[in-house]
Amino acid sequence: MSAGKHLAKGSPKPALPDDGVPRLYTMRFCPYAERAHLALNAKKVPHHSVYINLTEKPEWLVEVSPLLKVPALHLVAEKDQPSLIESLIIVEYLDEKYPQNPLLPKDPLQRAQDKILVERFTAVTSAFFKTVLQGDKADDLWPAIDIFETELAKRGTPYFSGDKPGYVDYMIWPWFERLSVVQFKLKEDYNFDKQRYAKLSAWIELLTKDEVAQSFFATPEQHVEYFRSRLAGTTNYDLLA
Amino acid sequence: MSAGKHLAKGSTKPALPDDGVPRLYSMRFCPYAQRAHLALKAKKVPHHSVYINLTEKPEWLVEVSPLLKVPALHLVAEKDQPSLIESLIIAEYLDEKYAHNPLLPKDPLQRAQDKILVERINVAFSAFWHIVMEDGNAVNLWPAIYTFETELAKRGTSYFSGDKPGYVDYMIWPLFERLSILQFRMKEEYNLNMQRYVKLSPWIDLMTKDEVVQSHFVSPEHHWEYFRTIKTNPNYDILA
Repeated sequence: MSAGKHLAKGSPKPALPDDGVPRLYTMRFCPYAERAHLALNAKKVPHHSVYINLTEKPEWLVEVSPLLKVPALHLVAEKDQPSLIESLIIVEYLDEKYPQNPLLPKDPLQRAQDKILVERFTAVTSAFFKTVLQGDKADDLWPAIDIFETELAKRGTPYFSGDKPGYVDYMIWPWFERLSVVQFKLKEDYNFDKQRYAKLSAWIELLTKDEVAQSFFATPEQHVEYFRSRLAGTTNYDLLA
Repeated sequence: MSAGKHLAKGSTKPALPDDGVPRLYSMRFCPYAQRAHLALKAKKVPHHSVYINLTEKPEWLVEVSPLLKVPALHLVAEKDQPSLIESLIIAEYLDEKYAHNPLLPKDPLQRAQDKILVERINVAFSAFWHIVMEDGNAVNLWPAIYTFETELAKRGTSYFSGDKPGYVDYMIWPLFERLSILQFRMKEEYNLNMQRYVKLSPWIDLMTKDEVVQSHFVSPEHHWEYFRTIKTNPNYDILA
């Protein structure tokens, strides 16, 4: 196992134990890959994590992730050893396959509403990337986050999923974990208004302390350092390796 | 009910019976709305269809579809009368709520693989819109469709979902129903590529004849007629 180092072109395929345990091909700072880690950890599903250098992808990646994407969950115990891609599909698969700690509600209407809410988070992720990668002014970001403040208030529970974190909480958390990067880009123009986002601010504190979120946590400073290196063209994947 | 006519700005909110039956807010030529129609029909879920003019949206649309999107499935029998959006989420909701004619398999791995396959139609859709809306070429379209030829061959069944159509078949069908308009745009290239699809071509024939597909079918000629108006003044009511 790479034990955190991101494998690149020219690297040999890692020798993993023949234990039938799924392998997650991932990147330490990818928010979509983080969703898969959170789901695996929340449901205590044994897995091996293999980290991939996304700018110099190893030649063997195509064998375990045919479209060269991460996250990719390689199910080595299944017939033909298929790989699953798309973070939300991976998470739904895990929730259906492993009954412990259900992340999605059972009721079809509530499930649909939770999935729609996570789809609506695309407005936040788009605005996030436009701001940190293209230096946009974040005009789209704050109204997009308002939607989630309103929804959390409407639900009336500490977490979106109720009294403990679930699907919605874990699927949107990675971007809130990276708010420091927005601050790094916007400098004095950054304003995460704690009155405007009263419910979300409390939620962020809870998630920060959450055992599952902590299992894959990177500090605000570490996220900033990763992004700084990426923007400089010298992506430091192995910052935490 | 609008009985097919697309309701626009200034129209009155349609008076629908107080029967608790879901309302599907739709547009006759929208491929994503078509997915919702196909799922509702496949599972024989009673519903009212209300058609919406998407360039001059009625003022009352926000009450039944807060984000002004179609398709929107307004669940009037549920507490607070919520509306569901996103065609695939609507289809999955219907499949979970209504037991008749399951569209997705039960096995979690097969479900995931079917959902991943449906995501891959997006590449074909993007390529298709590029041709139709931007007068682009088809260079990205054919490989995207070939993915499905390969997958159907690999599955070894008449339909992607097995011996009868299911989730994958109905969710990707709207792209294939529109593919045939390319015979009016690029006849030789279209025919040449269609010949390569030894598995997809029979599948297209089977799906065209399928009762559920027929319930919402638009002919190539009518799709072509609609597409020719889309950039200037969409003619929503061709079939109304």
